Amino acid sequence: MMQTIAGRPPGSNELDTSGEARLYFAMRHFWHPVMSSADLGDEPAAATLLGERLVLARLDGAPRCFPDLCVHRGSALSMGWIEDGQLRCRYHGWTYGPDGVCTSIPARFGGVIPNRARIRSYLAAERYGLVWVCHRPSLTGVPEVAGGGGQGARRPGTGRPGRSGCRPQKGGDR
Amino acid sequence: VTRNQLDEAGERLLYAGLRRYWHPVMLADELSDAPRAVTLLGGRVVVVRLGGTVVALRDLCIHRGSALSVGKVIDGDKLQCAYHGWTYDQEGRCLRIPARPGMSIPAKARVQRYDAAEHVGLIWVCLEGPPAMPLPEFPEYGDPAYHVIRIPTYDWRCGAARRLENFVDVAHLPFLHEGVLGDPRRPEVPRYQVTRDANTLKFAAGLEVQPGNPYKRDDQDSSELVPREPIHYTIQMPFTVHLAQPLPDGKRYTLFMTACPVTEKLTRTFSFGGRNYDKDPGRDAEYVDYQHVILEQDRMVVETQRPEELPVDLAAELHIGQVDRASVDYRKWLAEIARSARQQDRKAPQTAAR
Repeated sequence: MMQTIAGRPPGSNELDTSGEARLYFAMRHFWHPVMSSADLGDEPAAATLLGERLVLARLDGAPRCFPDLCVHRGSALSMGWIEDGQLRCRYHGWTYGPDGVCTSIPARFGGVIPNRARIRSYLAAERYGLVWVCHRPSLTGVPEVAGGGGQGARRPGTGRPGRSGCRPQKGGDR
Repeated sequence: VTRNQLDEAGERLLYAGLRRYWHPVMLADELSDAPRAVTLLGGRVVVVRLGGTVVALRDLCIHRGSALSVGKVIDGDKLQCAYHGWTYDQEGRCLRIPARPGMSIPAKARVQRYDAAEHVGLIWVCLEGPPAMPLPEFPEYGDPAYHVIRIPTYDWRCGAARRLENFVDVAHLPFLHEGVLGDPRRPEVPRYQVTRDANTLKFAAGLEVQPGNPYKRDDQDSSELVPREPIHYTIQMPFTVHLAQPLPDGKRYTLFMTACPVTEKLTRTFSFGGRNYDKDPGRDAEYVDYQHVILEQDRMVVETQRPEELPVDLAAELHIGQVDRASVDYRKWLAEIARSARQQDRKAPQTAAR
């Protein structure tokens, strides 16, 4: 007699959904490519990784990655723009620095920025012409490609050098 | 984390509580002599004029679950199901089952009737009467001193409270509506007070300056900033706002917007503009076009907000002292509506499943 999974009749292949959820959670400890370097220019860009909406932006010369969600009203930061090395939300103009800490709340007449006014930052790196993201402290590095491919690697098919591979910044994942 | 935290149980209670309020479902002049289907709080409702009265019924024939909205009005005062011809009166009682003409009609043969009203050019429905609050006020409607125009109805993929909060938010004007309603060089929101009474939150808020000529698009240099009177907002719970912008020389521009919670993540907004100046109807298109520009800027960002629902839990998002005062008071009131639904649930658990 055929085995059944959790009492369900045999039929299609069965998916152990709680196991899948654990697997996908564990995937947050690994580096994943989210977009081509060439697609991350002077504007913030949106990506989705493991079901989470992300915003990517070049701040202080390096790609940065945050949840695509302003802490104030939940609007997508990818709709905003980069100004003086800060990511500015289009809705109320709040700005965030490379570490995800809010640096300006324009509607107020000055005053201290609340401690809670910050977004998490995820690890981000640029290698082989791709932007890579890792949510959690990484278990591995960005995958190695035989023959190098870090600094100065050529992007396949373009013949042009890729942008410099940067090291993942520390201090993410608060 | 794909969104700010949402208190799912609290949201369910809020949506249960909202069943006790009037909501706009369609423009009155779009309801002629045929039944019309609308969706309110996720439920299908048929709206129909029967015997000169606006009637709202659950859009579901008790016999086979077919939509009564695809039926027809007969004798001017009865609604007949398209499937088997069962015929209902204004109260939702079945009067006739054509396949069994001699049979007495079972008492169970009736559809749920909801409170319905026609008011300020709109059809309103309350799913669980009696309504917790009266219908909202729109003082300029029918006032000969004002020229009132309709702004085309629009649907946004967001919760109705998100839509309302965007409408009464002053702090976003300098960024999202740069050069139209505000300027990022002068983004500060002066302190304002919010007054609460039985059904409304009232406040007068605004920026100190704004570009050029408010509520009119023209060729003026948008970098020119002019002083601006505060805007008078009246939030009529749960999803209606009356706005009045005083202008020089006794001119007054008003907006009435009311949002229908079609589902928890879809909102249909009905709105009218009223002005006591520049009343030539030939000028209306310019005012409508101007609203369209602003609304598209708003929609672009509001539809990105996550969760789509406005979190009832104040801790889910971050509020800034004075600036977000109106938003905080509004969220607190929504939380009260959710709590009142919980109390109702305790009294009448059999209604909780609906």
